[in-house]
Amino acid sequence: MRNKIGLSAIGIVVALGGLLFPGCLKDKVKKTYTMYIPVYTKKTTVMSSINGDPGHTLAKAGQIYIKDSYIYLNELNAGIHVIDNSDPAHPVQVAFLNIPGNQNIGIRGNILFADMYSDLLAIDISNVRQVKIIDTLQNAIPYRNFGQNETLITGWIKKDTTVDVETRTGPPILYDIPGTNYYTLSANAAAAASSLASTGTAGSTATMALVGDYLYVIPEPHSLNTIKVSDPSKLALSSTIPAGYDIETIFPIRNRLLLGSKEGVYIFSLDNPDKPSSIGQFTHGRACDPVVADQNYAYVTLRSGTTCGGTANELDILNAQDLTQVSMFKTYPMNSPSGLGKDGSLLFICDGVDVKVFDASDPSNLKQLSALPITGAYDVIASNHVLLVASATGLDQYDYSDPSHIVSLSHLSITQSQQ
Amino acid sequence: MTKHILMGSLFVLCVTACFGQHAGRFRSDSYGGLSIGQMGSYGQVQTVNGLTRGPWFVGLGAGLDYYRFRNVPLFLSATRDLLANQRSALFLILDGGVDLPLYKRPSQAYLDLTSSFRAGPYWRTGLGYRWRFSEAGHRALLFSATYGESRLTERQTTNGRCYDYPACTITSETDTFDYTNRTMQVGVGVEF
Repeated sequence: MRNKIGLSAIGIVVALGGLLFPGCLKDKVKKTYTMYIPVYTKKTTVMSSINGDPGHTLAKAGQIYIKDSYIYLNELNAGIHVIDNSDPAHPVQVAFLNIPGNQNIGIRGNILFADMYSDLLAIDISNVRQVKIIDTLQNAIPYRNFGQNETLITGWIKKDTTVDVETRTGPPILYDIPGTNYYTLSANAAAAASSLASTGTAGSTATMALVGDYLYVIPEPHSLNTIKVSDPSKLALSSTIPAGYDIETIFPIRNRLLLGSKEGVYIFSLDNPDKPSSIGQFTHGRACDPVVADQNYAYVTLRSGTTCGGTANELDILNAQDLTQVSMFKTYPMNSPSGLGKDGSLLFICDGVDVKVFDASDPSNLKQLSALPITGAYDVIASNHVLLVASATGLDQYDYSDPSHIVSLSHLSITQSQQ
Repeated sequence: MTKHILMGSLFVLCVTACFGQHAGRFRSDSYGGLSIGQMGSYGQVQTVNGLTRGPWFVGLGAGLDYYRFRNVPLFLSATRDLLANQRSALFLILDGGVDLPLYKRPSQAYLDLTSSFRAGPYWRTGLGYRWRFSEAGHRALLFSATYGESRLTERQTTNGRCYDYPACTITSETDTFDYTNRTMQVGVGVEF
């Protein structure tokens, strides 16, 4: 009896054990995620209703651009708020340009250039309350062409969805991170140092810059498009050239273009403005890096973490007297810097929880004058003693006539959307 | 989670009260072995402590299992001898309880990902074999082979899915993963 029980028991246990190979067992993994379904509208309908509601809610601010007494504030992928800033203490929203997919702004004279997903629009803004589209260059930014030639995405429907996930064998790793990497071309136009007085001024995180008769656009992170805009009713793509790796921003200075990338700064000559040519580059550690420059120095902020990669959080000042031989001049530690701006000897840097103001008359010895507590500030424009700060919470303006005593002028707040 | 613990506690109270009326003997079973499933083979240990009377043994169990995500099952265990003699027995195992996550997803340089796990239900059933070192003693060598399922829920939030500032259309996404792990467990243990 004893042997009988023992043998049968061992037999059953071993038989069960014999089934133990992984192919017999399938785990079950379900993923619940939020899906966004695009809402399409005919291009013709969109373009005929470009003059939108001036009271359009400011919900997701993007690029800032100033021209004359107006602020042009991008509503990310939705359009452009036109704000009368004749009195910086009392800015007034006077118009909204309904442009789906818009992220970039550039203004030359009375012509506003704006992207509408992959298309580039030339818009007559002589009367900002009643603008007119005068030409469209189709597919100027092919990276943002989502395959709809006659329609545009004008909205999204949010829907929660649960699906079965095929699991892989092996140890757990970071996988099945849902959704797509939604690449957003950074918003701000550059053009700050354009030689033409008729162009406007933008921040440091630009992907579009106006120089003379040409508009330079980063259509995707590795190339540069040149678009001739001398006759805005006949926009024409002049050239597309490979420009580097992971390019994020564009800044024009002295007939040159500085392209800020995650790896460094690429310098292009505009001696032949139809087709810029590479004349040098400066390489740094991997980080997000907007760049601005004056006659002698380029100022680059490096921000690490998240999608930027790298470990550096710093301000690099580069020798830029000779743009073919850019070299490191001095580095200053920062917290989490992003956009920056320069006016005369003053340097303004968005740095995490505040905007720092430096006396940069001696770049080898920057002196911090003050820090403006603005959380989530991502770009600034400093001009005529008025500092314009774009942040996650809104648009702030400060008077820095006395740099040691900067005074708040106004705040336009953002209503957070649910998306 | 709270619901699972409350239900488990109530069940333990009922069983303890039942055994209390018949004065069972304290017994402790401890196992070490492997959890085997689609993800591969991972180590696991567990201990069950409770009361035994006649062919029955009921106790509270706790374990540590490295299958997919390190987790701690807390469960009520019941076994019943099916075929037995003085030194050996074949017994049926039935466990039920809650699986607690003990895992932190490692960070990755290019993803601002926050992850949090939640507990889920746990059950397991199978057969065991006991071989006593002596006919009079209570010490025994144990072998077990069981099949079971445990469920863990993970909430992943990806912040700043944005390759550049100033902003993105979608600045964060939250996804929920429900993992139902189906494993065989083989173990060798001792009974005291």
